[in-house]
Amino acid sequence: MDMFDALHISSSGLSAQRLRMNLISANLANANTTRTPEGGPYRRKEVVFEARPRAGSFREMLRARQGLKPAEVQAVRVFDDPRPPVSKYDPGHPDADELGYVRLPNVNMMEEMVNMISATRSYEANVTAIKPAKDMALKALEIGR
Amino acid sequence: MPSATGLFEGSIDLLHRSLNLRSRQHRVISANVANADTPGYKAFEVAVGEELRKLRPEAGRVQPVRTHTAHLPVGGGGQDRVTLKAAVPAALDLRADGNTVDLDRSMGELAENAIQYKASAQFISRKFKSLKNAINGGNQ
Repeated sequence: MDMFDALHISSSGLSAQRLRMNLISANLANANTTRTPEGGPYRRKEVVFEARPRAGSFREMLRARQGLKPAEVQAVRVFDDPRPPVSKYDPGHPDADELGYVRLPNVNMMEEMVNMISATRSYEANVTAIKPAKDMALKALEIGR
Repeated sequence: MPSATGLFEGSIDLLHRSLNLRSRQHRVISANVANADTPGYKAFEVAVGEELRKLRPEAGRVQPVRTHTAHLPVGGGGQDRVTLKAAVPAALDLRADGNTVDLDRSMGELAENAIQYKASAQFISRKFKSLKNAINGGNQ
């Protein structure tokens, strides 16, 4: 039903931003991790979002294909940041190579902080969008009173 | 032959079913939210639209009745039997505990369900009001 599309789309936004926030937390927590199950230092993780039209029936799918249906956001993939790890001279570190360099994760604190604010604001924006959608539906009910 | 119950068989009956399904849906969503951290819990939901589209058993038609617990269910089944279906899990799930509850989506569904319930309740109350009006001869 179109009346509640806005509500569901905003909910998908909330869900997506929460996932993004989880990854940012993981990146911050592992900013100094030098050991991972796959070997080497931790690699910064990021998520790929995809617009997906909310379509249950054939008619809705048709409208979605014509671009007449607003899309939800959906997280489809988590990928490792391809930037190389940062080398730091620390010969006393157990994970240092023969030259005394430790390979540290490619996590940049400033970048993560900015992303964190961005994720928080996006989450808030979605919450803000839900309220009027709800109010509008409730207001529509008042017409018949 | 119009029966006394005929008065309530049209939209009142449909709204009644809608209210029933919505309150069930509310309970189901509450259960999902309550189990948001239960490992292995699979979120489920009431297929409200599908349930409403199911045709009511015709009044004049003979309905098979189960008289023994071992009998196989025949016919459309009772109104009280509501199909629950597993909620569609997110395409990308980073949770390792097998839980498929999405808190944010659940909250959206909860809001929608509450509004739908309110709408049905309002419609049914208006329906009764107009019936009452007719009983009182319209001079209310």
